Amino acid sequence: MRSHQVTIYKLFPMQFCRFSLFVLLFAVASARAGDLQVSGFGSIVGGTVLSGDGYWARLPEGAGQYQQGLELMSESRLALQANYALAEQWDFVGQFVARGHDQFEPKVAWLYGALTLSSDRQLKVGRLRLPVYQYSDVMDVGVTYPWLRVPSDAYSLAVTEFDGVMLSQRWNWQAGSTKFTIYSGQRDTDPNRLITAIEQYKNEQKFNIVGDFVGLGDIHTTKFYRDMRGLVLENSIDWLTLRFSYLKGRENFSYYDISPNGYRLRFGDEWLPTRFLDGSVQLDLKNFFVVAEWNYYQKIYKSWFTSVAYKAELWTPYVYLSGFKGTQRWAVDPLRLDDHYQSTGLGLRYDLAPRVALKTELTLFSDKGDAPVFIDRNRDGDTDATALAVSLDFSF
Amino acid sequence: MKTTIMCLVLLLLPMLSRADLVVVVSRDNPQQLTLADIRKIYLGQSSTFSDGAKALPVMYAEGTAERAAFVKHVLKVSESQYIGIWAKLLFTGNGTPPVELQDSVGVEAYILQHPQTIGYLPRELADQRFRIIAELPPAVEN
Repeated sequence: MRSHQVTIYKLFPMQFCRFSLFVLLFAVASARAGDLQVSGFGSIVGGTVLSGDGYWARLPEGAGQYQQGLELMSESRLALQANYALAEQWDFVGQFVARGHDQFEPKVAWLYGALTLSSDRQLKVGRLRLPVYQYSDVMDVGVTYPWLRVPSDAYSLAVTEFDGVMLSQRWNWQAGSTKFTIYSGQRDTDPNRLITAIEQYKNEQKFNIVGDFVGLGDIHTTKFYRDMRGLVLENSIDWLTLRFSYLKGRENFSYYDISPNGYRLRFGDEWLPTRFLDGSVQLDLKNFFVVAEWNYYQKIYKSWFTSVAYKAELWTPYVYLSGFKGTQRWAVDPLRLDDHYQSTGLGLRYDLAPRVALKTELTLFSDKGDAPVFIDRNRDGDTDATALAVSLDFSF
Repeated sequence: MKTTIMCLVLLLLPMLSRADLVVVVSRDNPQQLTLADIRKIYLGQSSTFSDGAKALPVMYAEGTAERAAFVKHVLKVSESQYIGIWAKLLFTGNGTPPVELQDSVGVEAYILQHPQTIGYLPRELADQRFRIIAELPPAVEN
């Protein structure tokens, strides 16, 4: 397993050089085009482990791994978005995210054309965020939610984007609004970094003859998603928001061993039908913010989270509980079937300025299953951890 | 001299109360809106007037007394919440924040140049070129 562990005094000059070039290109573009609007956001996240062998937030694409010392690369990210008004009804949107997890190499998160069919109806074509969760669209935009990160136990789908088409219709009522979205598309992930890391921790931990952990075995996993068709129904009535999403399609999971001769398929490479359901309730009261979300990935897992935050002017303390229980459609080691874990987060957000928030969170991770979900040095299948993280979220 | 002017501005800013602001459209714009409708438009929950015509909300720039009063008393959110709501809409491709202008001169000119605009002004500037469609709600004494 390649580690991105970096101590505070060895921080990223090369990566920021690369990102600065990326920023410069956008600045030049915006200076030349009046119809181009450039905006952005970012989060600088630092974390450490207070107890346990390590903590892994897992999102996105396996990011958020903390083992020892202060880790600043794993979840930090910077993003730029360009909105270009091509014509009265046509807009083009490109959002590029540079993550510390990827050595700040900019990658396309969104890239689509949007056709405004009416004031309440819009068609989008291109690369889009898969809208399966309540917070799918804003997972990277830390300033928009109270937590240091969206509780990742409940946001574990191995694909976050898709290439396709999306049609949204909104109805405004006297008491609130209803938004209905349908979409279709596909996405290939090769390698699938989240699943590769999960399987490495579950099945590929290597120990020497005296029982010391020596590393993770090399594997390669892929997940291909085709014929994805989904819908989202969201109802907002003043302080109450109810949301339901459903996705169906086909997926193909492959697990390869890596040897000097190349990849050797250990299992998988079979197309199977798949379904994903998610429901959430959100209460946005005067001082209290309450949310609960539950989802079901057919034959693979169930997960959930619930949270309460108290908004007191600039301060927002919060608590959340989240859980994940796998049902293992694919199992490499039948003795390690039980993926089951829960997290408790206690945190605080402080708004330094309208566009800047400082957050801290204590995360208590409780591994209740047999399968290790991080390095398991004593090989008991129990990978409990306590982690502390601080973030600075901003937008511009 | 600059310091004196700055001190005067800082002294005068808190004096701009909710009673001094009115929500306006241009004189020829026939739209009727309630405060709830205005709130929906400024928080990205609606992009049209009641007859379906596109609405163009305009804001004062961050840090101005007019904006602070409007965000607090009409939108009933904090500045951070307002920024967060529009960040969510912007970065998910579901909306573009209102145009922001530095001062009343800019807001007046924008409303007059764009008939679909809705904006707010200090009452004394809302002359016959504009039509007042809402006044800020009366203060509730605690």
